[in-house]
Amino acid sequence: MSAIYSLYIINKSGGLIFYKDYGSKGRMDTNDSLRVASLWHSMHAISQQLSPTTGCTGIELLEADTFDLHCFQSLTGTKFFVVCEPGTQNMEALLKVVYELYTDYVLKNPFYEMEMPIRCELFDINLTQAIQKDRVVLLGR
Amino acid sequence: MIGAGKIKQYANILEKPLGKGKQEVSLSAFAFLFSELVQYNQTQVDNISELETRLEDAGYAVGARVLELLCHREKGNRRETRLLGILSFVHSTVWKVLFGKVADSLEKGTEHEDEYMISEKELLVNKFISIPKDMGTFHCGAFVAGIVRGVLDNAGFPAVVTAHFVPVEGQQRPRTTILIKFAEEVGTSPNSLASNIPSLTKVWYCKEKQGWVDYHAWVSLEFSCRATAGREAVNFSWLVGLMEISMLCIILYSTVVSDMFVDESVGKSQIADPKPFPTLVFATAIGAISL
Repeated sequence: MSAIYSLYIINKSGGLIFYKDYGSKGRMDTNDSLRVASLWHSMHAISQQLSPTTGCTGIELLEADTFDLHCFQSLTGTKFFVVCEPGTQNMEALLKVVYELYTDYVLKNPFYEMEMPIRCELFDINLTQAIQKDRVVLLGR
Repeated sequence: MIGAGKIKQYANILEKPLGKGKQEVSLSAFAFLFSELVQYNQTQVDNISELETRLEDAGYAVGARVLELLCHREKGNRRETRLLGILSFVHSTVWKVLFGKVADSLEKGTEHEDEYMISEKELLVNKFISIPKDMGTFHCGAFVAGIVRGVLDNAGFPAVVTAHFVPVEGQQRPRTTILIKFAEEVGTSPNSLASNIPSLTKVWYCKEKQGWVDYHAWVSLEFSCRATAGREAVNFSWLVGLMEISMLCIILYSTVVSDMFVDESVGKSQIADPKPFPTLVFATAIGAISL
């Protein structure tokens, strides 16, 4: 049972730098995932302008019939968003964990170029562990 | 702040005691600094082996300083003169101070007598680094290999030190091994002596028979011995012979000649007073001749 469908990380200019799907429901081919990323980037930016309240920092949660989309934006403009089953709990905490893994295993890697796609082994390993832990917690409830 | 004691302010920085300093530094700060070191060196070189060499050289500088610092702080100004001693010093003390824990294991190589290995599950410097596939066998642990080489070289055990990944079955990430291959002048037995001990220290040690052995003479001889050891052009062995003979002369002079000048009637306190002037001149003359 996988509550998470897919995880995206986009850089500050809207390019997709990391994409991972969990299960067949989240699966998308490369082009589609790139389109979703840039689409989300633009929507996020527009929503900031459209918001009736002041000080809005963009969409944090999008709820639809068949999925939920949780988004976390760091102070530098890098966005982490996860597409999951409707009603999944603790996605914000998970996104914060992913952000921490990003700062550790991607930004401290001397072979990573900023704003480029993430190709770091340690990041993948630790991300899988974090998601597994999260799934165990979810199943346990 | 609750519980903070009043910090004693010193009027002059020279009066502050030389403490151990901060024991801990932020890991993230180090990781970023090291990452920047690697990135900077990448822009300066053309290929991977040059990059490894540069990292090793950076580590060598650290190793030389760490040896001096730890000999003073941890070991009370004593030095390791045996091979096994220096290896366990590196394996436990150096690792403990630099990385917060002793190294996982120290092994003697089975194929070659002069090879030793320090292994570690994951080097601290590599904690956040993922090597891309196209860099092949590059290892950022070359920095740590440089540190070990710096310590060993300056302790008198020249060696070639390299870092390798060793795949372990059942584990996704390979172990890291620091391979130490000693140079020929270092013997292969664990009891081999360091190569930079002046031979005079081995044979004559300043037995302080009060007033008979002159400290000044000893010091000036030791300095001339070390100075000559640094010059490769000079034929060292006959000079050592000269040193030993001159040392023997000095000892004899101090014992025999000074004897003549001791006034028996004055008493013990007079005997204890060394006679620096004549022996100092004598020793400086010997030192100057040898140089």
